Amino acid sequence: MSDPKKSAEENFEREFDAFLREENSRLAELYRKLPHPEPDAALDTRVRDAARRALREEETATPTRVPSRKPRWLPALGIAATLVVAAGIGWRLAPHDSQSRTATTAADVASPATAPERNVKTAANPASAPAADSISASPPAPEFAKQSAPAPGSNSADALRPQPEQARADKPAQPAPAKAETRVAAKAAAPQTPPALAAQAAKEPAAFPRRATGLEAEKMIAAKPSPPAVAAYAAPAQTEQESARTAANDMPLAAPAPPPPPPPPPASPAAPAAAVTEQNAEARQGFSVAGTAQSASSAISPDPANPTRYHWDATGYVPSSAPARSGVYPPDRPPLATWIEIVRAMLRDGHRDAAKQALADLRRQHPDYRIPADLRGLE
Amino acid sequence: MGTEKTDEELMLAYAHGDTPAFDELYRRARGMLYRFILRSVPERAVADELFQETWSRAIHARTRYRIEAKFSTWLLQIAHNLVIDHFRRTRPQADAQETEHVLGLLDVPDHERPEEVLSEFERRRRLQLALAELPDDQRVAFLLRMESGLGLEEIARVTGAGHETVKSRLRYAFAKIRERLAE
Repeated sequence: MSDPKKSAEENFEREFDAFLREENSRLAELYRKLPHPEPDAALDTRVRDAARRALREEETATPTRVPSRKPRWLPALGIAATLVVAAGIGWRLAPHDSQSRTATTAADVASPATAPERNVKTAANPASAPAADSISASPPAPEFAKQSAPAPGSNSADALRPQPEQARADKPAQPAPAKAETRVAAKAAAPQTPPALAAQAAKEPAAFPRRATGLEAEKMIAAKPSPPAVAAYAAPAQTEQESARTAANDMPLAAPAPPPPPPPPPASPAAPAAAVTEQNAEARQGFSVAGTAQSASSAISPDPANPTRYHWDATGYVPSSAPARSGVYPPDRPPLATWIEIVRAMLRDGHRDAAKQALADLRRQHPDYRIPADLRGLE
Repeated sequence: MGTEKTDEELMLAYAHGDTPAFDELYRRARGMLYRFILRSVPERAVADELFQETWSRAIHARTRYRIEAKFSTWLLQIAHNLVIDHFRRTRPQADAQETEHVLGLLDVPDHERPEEVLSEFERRRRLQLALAELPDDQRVAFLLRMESGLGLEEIARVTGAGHETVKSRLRYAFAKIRERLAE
């Protein structure tokens, strides 16, 4: 009884295994003999048409979809980013002179306010260095009168005046900043200075701390020690335009063979602290008055008594009646451009320590001023 | 001959705009798919509708097609889902009489009707009746096995059932058909 049933089960399993293994079982053969219905032609046509229609719709829809997928803000964002980058690069590449000009212009405005402080300190400490006393003890107006007096000049002033090209380049730049500075400088100088001084201060170019160009520096150096320049300095002052016009012609003739530089003296001692403070104040005032004369001429010559000290003369800016300013550095603080030339002259004459001291002094007075590249090694 | 593209390559080609590729793919798969649907859904009009819907869905899904399985498996999966949806909408199913009527409408070539094959014809008729009487899941599994030649794993993928479940369904279907043919 169990054998036929078992054999039937075994037979079933065998046929089922064959069915699963896709062998040619009897059932598979029978199934393959069933009718093989297929879709009719109309159904085939509908399916194929649907396939072609889908592709056509895709082709026609693609050009219209693509622009809509692009975010419209993307080009605007790109343009904005480009502008920001361009502005940043432009700001980074902008000449830094304008920054230093602005900074030193602010120093110009602030410097008159320091004059009373200087006077107070001078009065409280009369034991300062004689040279410092002689300058600081004088009230602003007499000092300015001294400056405005026709100093024993130097015709090297002509040589130091800007070249015609420079004059042309400076002229257009003056009016715009001069308006603001005129008001500020006039307001700052009014309590202490006579109208002539205020007028001169107002006429000074705003861009005081502009570094001397190489040509200017060469002129200054060449003209510095020439005694004939001193004689020529007494000549009636020319207007700035005239001097600029004649500078090119005068320059080759204004520098006869300079005398040999004096032997290098021992390093000059550091000025007392009080004197330094007063000198700072003095320099600030000079900076605001005559030192800012960008196109002002100056002459430098070593002091015969002390080769580490330099006589300097700075002619005023236009008009021709503008006072010149002169002194002996140290301790008389010259205008910034002249100061730089004095440092260069010290270097050239072998007074390296004095030059370092002068540069440090200058740095203290004008911390925002960019030291010329040829002098940065001294710092 | 060796350069003949596979079904999957043809589908990808069609997805990139190759219309002749679709024609070739359709030529290969139309009979298998149609018979699977027709034997799952005995009503020919419904089978035609489901057949066309199956292809329509395949056409619209062409850009999403990836070669993760045989194209026939993917196509049968679409068809199977449509058939199941149809079953759910139209229960109760057609009875045996209606099934026999539909089967009678199927064309049978005349050369298959000589006297000596009448018994064979009777056996085929019984097979058809047995298929119609099978539960849906067993019939689908049997058709996928016999008509489309799918293995257990592929049937499981198409139907979404487990491997052992598919094997069990096939076992029951095989037993019932075998019993019917033995009558």
